[in-house]
Order: sequence, then structure tokens, then C-alpha cells
Amino acid sequence: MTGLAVVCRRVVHIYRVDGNDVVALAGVDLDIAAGEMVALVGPSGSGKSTLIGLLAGLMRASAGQVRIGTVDISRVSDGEMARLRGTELGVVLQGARRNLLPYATVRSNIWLAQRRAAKVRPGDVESPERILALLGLTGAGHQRVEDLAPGAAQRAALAVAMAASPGLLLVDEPTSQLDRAARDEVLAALAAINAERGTTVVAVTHDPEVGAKLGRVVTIRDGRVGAEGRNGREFAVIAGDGTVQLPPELLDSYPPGTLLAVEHLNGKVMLVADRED
Amino acid sequence: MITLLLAMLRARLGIAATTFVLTIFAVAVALAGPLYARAAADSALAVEVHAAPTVERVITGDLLTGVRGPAAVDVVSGKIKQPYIRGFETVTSVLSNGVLNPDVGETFWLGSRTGVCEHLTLIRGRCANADREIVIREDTSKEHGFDVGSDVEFMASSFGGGRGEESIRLTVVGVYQTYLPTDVYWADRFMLAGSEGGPFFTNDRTVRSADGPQLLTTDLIATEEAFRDRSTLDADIKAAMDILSATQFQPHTEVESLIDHIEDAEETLLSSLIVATLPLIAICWYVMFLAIVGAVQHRRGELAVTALRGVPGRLRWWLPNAETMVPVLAGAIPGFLFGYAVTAALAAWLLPGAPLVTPTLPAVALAVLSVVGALLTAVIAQWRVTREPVSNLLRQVVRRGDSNAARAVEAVAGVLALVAGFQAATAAGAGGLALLVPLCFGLGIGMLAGRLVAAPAERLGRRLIRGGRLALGLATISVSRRPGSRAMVALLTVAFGLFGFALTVTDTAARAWEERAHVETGAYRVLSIVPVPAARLMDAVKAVDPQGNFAMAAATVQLPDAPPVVAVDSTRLARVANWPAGPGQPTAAQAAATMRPQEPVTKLVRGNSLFIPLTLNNIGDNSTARLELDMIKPNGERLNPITSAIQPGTAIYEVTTPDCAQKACRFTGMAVSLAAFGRQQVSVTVGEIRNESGEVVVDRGQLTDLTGWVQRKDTAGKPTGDLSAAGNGLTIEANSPIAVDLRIWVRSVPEPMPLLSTGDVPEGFAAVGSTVSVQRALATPMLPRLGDNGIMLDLRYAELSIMPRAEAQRSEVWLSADAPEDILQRIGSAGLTIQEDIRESDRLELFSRQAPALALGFLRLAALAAILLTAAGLIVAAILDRSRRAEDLSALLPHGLSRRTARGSAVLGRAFLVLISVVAGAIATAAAWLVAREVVPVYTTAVAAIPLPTWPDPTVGNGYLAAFVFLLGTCWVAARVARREGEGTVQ
Repeated sequence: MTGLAVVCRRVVHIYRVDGNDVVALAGVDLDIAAGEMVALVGPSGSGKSTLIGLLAGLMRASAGQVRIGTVDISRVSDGEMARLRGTELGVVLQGARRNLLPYATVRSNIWLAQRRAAKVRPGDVESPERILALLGLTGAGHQRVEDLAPGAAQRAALAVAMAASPGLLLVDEPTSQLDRAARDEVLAALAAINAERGTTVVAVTHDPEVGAKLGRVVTIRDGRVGAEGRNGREFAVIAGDGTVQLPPELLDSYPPGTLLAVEHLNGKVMLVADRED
Repeated sequence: MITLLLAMLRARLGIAATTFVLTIFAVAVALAGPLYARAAADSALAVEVHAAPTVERVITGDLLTGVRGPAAVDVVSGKIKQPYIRGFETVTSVLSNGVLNPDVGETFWLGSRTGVCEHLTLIRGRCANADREIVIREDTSKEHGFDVGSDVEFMASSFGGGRGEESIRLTVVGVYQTYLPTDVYWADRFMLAGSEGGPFFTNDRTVRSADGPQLLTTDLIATEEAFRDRSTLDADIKAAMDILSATQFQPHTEVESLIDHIEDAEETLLSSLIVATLPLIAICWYVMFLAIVGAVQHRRGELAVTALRGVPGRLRWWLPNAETMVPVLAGAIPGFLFGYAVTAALAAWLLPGAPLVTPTLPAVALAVLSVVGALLTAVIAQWRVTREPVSNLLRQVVRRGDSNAARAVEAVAGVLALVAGFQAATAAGAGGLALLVPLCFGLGIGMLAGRLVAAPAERLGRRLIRGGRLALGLATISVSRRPGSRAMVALLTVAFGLFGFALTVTDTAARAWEERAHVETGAYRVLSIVPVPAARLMDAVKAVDPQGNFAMAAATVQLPDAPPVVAVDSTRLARVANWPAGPGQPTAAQAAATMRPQEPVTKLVRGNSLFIPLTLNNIGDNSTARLELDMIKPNGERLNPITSAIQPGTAIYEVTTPDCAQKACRFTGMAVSLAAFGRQQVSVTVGEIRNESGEVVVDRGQLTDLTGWVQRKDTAGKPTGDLSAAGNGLTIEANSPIAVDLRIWVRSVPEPMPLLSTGDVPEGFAAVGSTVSVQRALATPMLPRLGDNGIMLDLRYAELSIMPRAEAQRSEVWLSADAPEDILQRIGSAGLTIQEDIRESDRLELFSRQAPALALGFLRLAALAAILLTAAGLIVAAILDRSRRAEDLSALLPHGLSRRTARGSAVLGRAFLVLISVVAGAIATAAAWLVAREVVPVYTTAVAAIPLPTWPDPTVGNGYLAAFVFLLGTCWVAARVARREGEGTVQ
């Protein structure tokens, strides 16, 4: 299975809490190429976990389009979504053990995660040992999840998510609560997945170093794509509706309501504040 | 998958073990109900057969030789085969009636009977084997001085009384003890069971050698084996009756009545016990449901994982269900074995006769059904969670509170349960579906109670917390907020309802049986006596108990077209009889005074000879008149001395009365015996009667007081003679073209004769040749021995007016509890032969062995098991509550809630559920009792006897209270169980 591209177009998601509507995503536009590794970063409550939840099909977007490969997952049925999760989407929730049956062995967990793929495309199902080897867990298949060290448990969760050889791997906080060594092992595992399988990897993280290692870092702010960093440079991103978020540090100088003149000159776009003083 | 499944089971061994154990119980109960019912039915069959009156256990055939042709000879000689039915014993007799030569004043039966030697207890000599050998009864031996080696000459007579011509010489070779004539072997044949002096037993050839007609009998006596397989019994009985008819025997049987009893008992048991097990199975399923629902909430995260991995729906469904199905299936066989073992133990312990327990198809079917039900319970408990979207499962938040639809469904279910209960009670017969009423009512009322108390509990809890009473407040609030509270209230209410109903039913049934045994026995102890004349019976009892403190003579009389009649010596009634109490019931003293308003008039006559001046005033041509006196000898027998033919004019006629020489006889009446051809014309005047000493025994005043005489009712078809007072005595005359009844009796008792009755009485009692007018002097709801259907009258009155002319009677001596220990010897010394000794406790013991008692015993055990299972449910819920309660405590302890308060609220919260349920259960019990008490199986057949008590004894509340205290104790244990893990996390 090769990597799957992800396309989000003006994705809006609204929660209803105690009778009030809370806008979690306010029009996200995001393109992730097949085989790319992307880190979603942003402050708490910015909407990054909601976005990954939408990509995983755990919830449906209130508006907009979420396409994985050629499938618009905001329009598929529950059954089809379950099929996608069993074959083309690997999801790792925050907290490694939430992804695993604690009393079962790693191999049993992988076996369970392969059931859909074994039914739909049995020829593509890899042996658990190969998957474990990919994640650096050779020989750990017989171990029970509850006996694994935190780093190994996180890689076991990745192994389970990769059990069906999906084209897209979605990982929520893969390195939280891990020590440095374990973190590096997990990052190495993600890199190996991407490199060897061409799997598209999207990870939510608070850790800038993790983002840096993944290469492309998309910052989610106030429910939108606020910025994007590539190769050490930070970019603002023009949204589908033409809006551009200013970096937060500028907001103190240019509070909401400030009028900006947009000047496009010689291939450069200038924002000129209209200050009376 | 198996690896994964085993890992799941290992991980949650507690819930697997709970499911396993509950399945074992459910299967065991399902199996035990029908198995126990079958075993109880077998036991009840034996009880019913042995308790049945003889007439219901035998098929009899009678043939009088010489009357109905030669076939009888063939029967005796074995040319005609006797009928045979499997399980029946065929017993034949040949009987000849006759007198001894020289005559000893009694008639005897000479008879042979199949296997008689095995049924006699010989006190001297041996049984008769060879021709002309006989064995005789001990009292005959004593009275007439016959003993082993004595020779007697037996002269057969016709059954009408005429003597045969030749006598046969018989040798006494043995003397047998008086046997119990009610033994079914004697087939209720009066010549074997009730004849005075007892039969002489010999062999067939000896009887057949006797001159005169002979009675041949064939009795098919049923053993309990006859009724085990009843598939062909009706046909077999009909075939046997046909064979008897074909051989000119007159067949008779009431076996069908016993078959009805047995089938009734069996139906009561099978329907009642199977139905009684259903609530237990339902409780097992319900506790299992609570356990699985509770457990599944703990595994929402795991279910979310399987959903997140896109595991196919079927596997996603199978995994959690297999985890509960495996212990269910694993519990099936142990449950089967456990159920069998428990039933076998119960049968051996509780059932009379300890019948063998063998698996039956209904039992296995119900056991399989209980397993299927357990599997379905597991599936239903997890149905919702296996279909929930992954996002819901991931959130791990259990939805609290119900939708309006859920509330409506619960309310409708509660009401439906109540309606179903009501319908079951009103639609079903005794037992059966009616026993589901407590379950339905408990469920309905429990569901409604759980729903109704939620809001007030919430308000009260808040108020208590505001008032600073934290433990009480938290506990009260937990009633409304704690998940599963309503389910627990419903479960507890069902258990209390079942238990309360079982207590109520068993108490009222036990009291009904006690009351019935008390009333129907008649007295603390009743001795059945070989029939003797009433006067003799009363004299003997008087000799035993002159003061009338503990013994009373009584006789049951069956008169045509009249309810059952019992005649008692009313002067002793109040001291001896078990006089029923109740509304509208007169006292025994009132009853006695009513039955015998005045002492009866008796004319006593003493003398070896009586001299009667008779004047023949007038007589038709070719007619002869004699005067026949009607007297009762001191021993109660009748005496009818008759004069020679009365000649015209006045003369004194002598009749000999040697029986009245020592002790006075009672003069009861007289009759002009007229032999007339053509017109009945006579006029005789009877003067003062004297004895050989010249003493006047019947004076002129008595004779001429016309109100002192009773005649038969005068009709056109049968006129009576005219009475008139003449100067020298009483004139009896007739002048009619048709036969005239010239009998007159001394008016001893008031006419109409007063009596007590539970209902309407006929105008008169028909007796041979006469009708005695009677009237109900006092209505009473109940009578001793007869219950709510019968007539009671004074034995002395009856003896004077009815019994000399009654066809049958059964003599009894009723004894109170303070009769002396040697009473049987005293009765024997007074000349009475005891046939049977029945005590109130015997009768009560019989009820306790019959089908309803067995059914109610099981119901009681089932109710107890329901309480135990419910206690187990509380513990299971506590185990499942552990982590949740721990979280509650850990959340509140840092805010200043003391550990003691937290513990107190944990205990009180559960105790409140029990408290609510105990009240709801009492309401359910009362409602179920009101609706279903009429159909509770207390008696196998509808008997016109003692109505059930309306309400149970208040002491029933003690048992109910004990169950309440037990479940409160369980709450304390449950709270500790729930706390054990919680304390670990909060510390």
C-alpha cells in the first residue's frame, strides 16, 4: 500500500456543549501529499485533535470536504468508514495503551487489527513479525501489552495501527510522557514506516522537536491553519477564503480591528497599517 | 481468536466466574423444577393411592350362585379366567352364610379368599389348609368357647334366612387376631370387614361343599404400580369390567375417582413446580444481566479499540459475546449435574418414599431453555454497546438518565407485568400460571417503585446534605443517581414479593390443613368401632367414661337423598368434639341444647315374661291377629316377641322375654300383626302389661295417652290404623279394603326432630318403612367431621327414631386429648372392637404428604433461593461498582468528606434500596395474595370443607423481617466488597 494524499477544504467542525455551539475548526484548508510526513502543532484547544479525529473518521465535519486518497470521508457510510479504518487508515490515539487490548499479547493485538484487511485484501496482509521488525519490536510479539515499557507500548500501538499496511497513519501525541530515548525510538519508527512503506504520516504533537523531525509542521490556530514551517522557515498560509493569519506575536501590535492596506508590488505582498498617528 | 478469547477470560475471571456460577444456578433450577415435580408426583401418587378409600382402589365383581346360572361354577373351578390388570392384585372369594348347629344365636360367614393366610395374624394354631379346616376370630373363640381342635357344625342358609338341609363338620385349627377391616385387602366387603363374630376362613372346596347359595367375589385390588403408567389403564379397567359382566358377575368400581385424584395431584405438581422455577431462572438471568451490563461498561475502551481497527462487524460482535457465552456454555453441564444432585438430595430429604429422580424430557428442555436464555441475556446486555459508534466508545462516558421513550417503555413494562399477573391469576386454574403472579406483580411494582422514588429521593438527599447530614444525604441521592438502582429495586422487590407470597401461602395452607384436620377428624382422636347398635355403643362409652369427660359415642349415617349425617351423644359434645370456631358459629353447648331440647322418653320393661291383656273387639272373616312388641334388648339388639293368635273376647297373652329378665329392655312400640284375606278389619284393645311378678310395666295411663304414640304418615295408598283410648287400654283398629299399617311407636323424641345443618335439610329422613320428619333447628357454617356440608343430630334421638330403621351406620368413639392412656383397653373391655384409630395429627400428616404440600414446600425453597440469589446480585453489583465507587470517594475525600461518612453512605445507599424494596415487596405480596389466593394449590381436589383463611397469621411477618435483615446485612457486606479496592486508590 502506498501513501495516501489528504485534502481538507474549508473544513468546519462545530461541537454542541450544554446547548451552546463551539467552533472547533473554522475552515481548515490543508493538502498533504501521498507519502508525506506532517506534524500538526498548536496550542491546546486550537483544534488539532479535532482535525485528526475528522481525518480518522471518528467524527464528521460540520461542513467542508475531507478527502483521503480519492475518498471524501465526510460522505461515506459508517460501514465504509469502518472498512477504511480496517484497511487504509491507521490511527494511534493519545496514550499508547488506549490503542491496545492490555491483557492480550502484541501479536494478538496485531492479529485483531488485521481482520478487516485479511477479509478485504488478504494478499496484502503482512506477518506480525515483519510489522514488529519494522517497529523495532522483534521478539516482543508474545509479550502482553501490560508488560511492555512505555516506549515499547507506543511502538506496539504503532505496530497495531500499521497492521493492515494502511496508506495513512494518524498519530496523536506519539511521544508524550516518553523519555528522550523512547521518544527517539518512536520517531525512528515513524520515519521507518514512512521510508519503507511510503505511508503518509500525520502526527499531532506539542513537541517542536518532533515537528522538526517530521519535516513539515502545520500550525493550527483558532481552528484554522495558522502557519506552516518548512525547512526551518515559518510561512503564513493563505486559506481557501483568502484569509491569512498573522503570527501571534504581531497581534499585540496590531489588535483586531486594525486596518491594513494590502500592496502587491514586484512579487511581494505588503500589509501596511493605516495609523492616524 | 481462541488465544484472544482466553486472554479476555483470564483478564476478567471474576465476571466469567460470576456468569459461570449464575448459569449453573439457572440450569440447576430449570432442571430441578421439573425433576422435583416428577419425583413429587411419584411420591404423591403413592400417598394418594394409600390415602384413597378402599372403594376407589378396587374393582369388585359379585355373583350369587344358584341365582345367575352355572357360570359361577366354572369360575370357581377355574374354567373361566379371572380378569387381570397390570398393577392390580386379583383376589377371589367364595362365601357362604349360615348358622352353627346347635345355634348360638348368630350367623356366620364361611369363606375362602386368595392369600388370606398372609393377611391373618394367628394367635393360636395355624392357618387352614386342608379340607374342613377353619380358622376363627379371637372374639368368637372367646365368646363361644371354640378353640384349636374344637369341632363345629356349619349349616348353610339361604341369604334370605332359610336354613339349608345339611350341615358340614369343621375343625378349628387356628384363632386369628381381629384384623383391620379397612385394609384394602378386604375390599370393603361387609361380610369380611364388618360382620359380627368374623368369618371362618377355610379353603374353596370346603366352602363349596356347604349346602345353599354362595357368594362369589372377584376383587381387583390396585397397588400404586397400577397408576404409574396410565396410558392403557382406562381400557384395561373397561376390559376387566367387561370380563366380569361376561361371566355374570356384577362389577363395580370407583377407581376412576382415584385416577382423577392422581392426575389432579400430578397436574398440580407439574404445573406448579415448573412455574415456580421460572422466577428463579428469571432472577438468575437478571443478576447475570446486571453483571454483564456492569462489566461491559468497564470494557468500553476495549470495544473502542476493536471498532477503531475496523474489525469486521461479526467479529466485533462475537468477541465480547463469546467472552460471556463461554462461561455460560461451560456452566451448562455442571449446572445439569448440580441440579440433578440437588433434586436427588431434596427428593430423598423431603419427599415421602424418597422416590428415584430420573431425567425427563421437560426437565432437559427447560434446562436447555435456561442456557439459551442465559446466552440471550448475555447478547442483550451487550447489544447496545456492540453497536455504538467508535467515538461514543472512546469517550467512555456512560449516558446517565433516560430518554422519555425509555421512561415510557419502563412504565409500560411495569403496567404490563401487573396486567399479566392479574390475567394469570384469573385465567388459570389452581396452581400453574397463577404462581407467576408474585413474579409479575413484584416486577411491575418494583419497576414502578424504582421510578417513583427517584425524584423524592433526589430532593430529600439535597435537603439532607444542606442540613449537614452528609452520609444520609449522599445515600439518599445515590438511590436516584446510582446506575442500576432501579434495576436493583425491581430485583429486590421481586425477591421480597416471591418470599412474602410463599410465606403467606404456606402459612395459610398450613392453617387450612390444621383447621381441616381439626374439624374433619371431629375430635382429637376417633376410634372406628365394629358396628354395634347405637344403644350398645352409648352404654359401652358410658361404662368407659361415666362422667362424659373425654369419650363420646357417635355414628355416621348415610341416608338416601340427604347430606352426610353424623349423630353424636350431644350431652358430651362440648367436652369431646373439636367444635369449629368462626363467624356465625354457635357454641357446642348451644348446638347440644338445640339437638336435644328434652330428655327422650323411654319406657323400660323388665321381666322374663310379659302378660298382655288383649281384647279382640272385631276381626274380619278368615283373619288372624297377633300383637308383636317392639323392644330393644339391654345389649342394643332388637327384640320382637309376638303373641299367639288373639282370640275373640278378652284374654291375657304371655310372651317370653328372657333377655329382659336381668336388665330392663326398652319398650319402643308394638304392632297388630294381621293376617287377612280380603278386607283388613280388626279392632284390638291392649291393656296394662305386667311381668311375671305382677308388676305393671306399661300402665293404662301410658297406653291411653294418644299423644305418646307415633304412627307412620297416613296416606291413601298405605293407611294407618286408628287409635283410641278405651276404658281398659288402647284400642288399635282398622277397616279398609287395602293393607293397613298397624304399627305404633312410643313417641320418644319431639317431632319433627331438631337437628343442626350447614344447609337445607329434607322434610324427613326416609328409613325402611317409615319417614322421620326433621327440621333444622339451628344453622351453622361448620360441623365437626362434616365441614361445611352435613347434618348433625343427637345420637339418642336418632337411635330412638331413625337408627332402628336405618340401613347403614358406622360406629365411632370420639375422644378428647385428655383421654387416659389405656383408653383402648377400656374400650375393648366394654365390649367394643376397635377397627381403626385415627388422630387429628394423622390427618394433618396426610395433608403434608399430598401434592399441594409438596408443591408449596418447593415454592418455599424457591422463594428462599430467590432471596439468596438476590443477595448474590447485590454482591455482584458491588464488585462491579468497585472502581466507580472508588472514584466517587477519591473525588470527594479531598474536599473534606470523611472516610466514615463515605463508608456510611455506601452502606446506607444500598440499605435504602432494600428498604424501598421491602415495602414494595409487601405491597406486591398483598396484591398477589388478594388476586391469586383462590387458585393457590392447597388441596388436590375441590373439597367441600374448610375455606382458606383470608389473611396469614401476623407471625408470617417474622420470616419477612428475617429476609429484610438478611439483605440489610448483605448490603453491609456489599459495601465492604465495593470499598476494598476503592480504599487502595484513595490512600
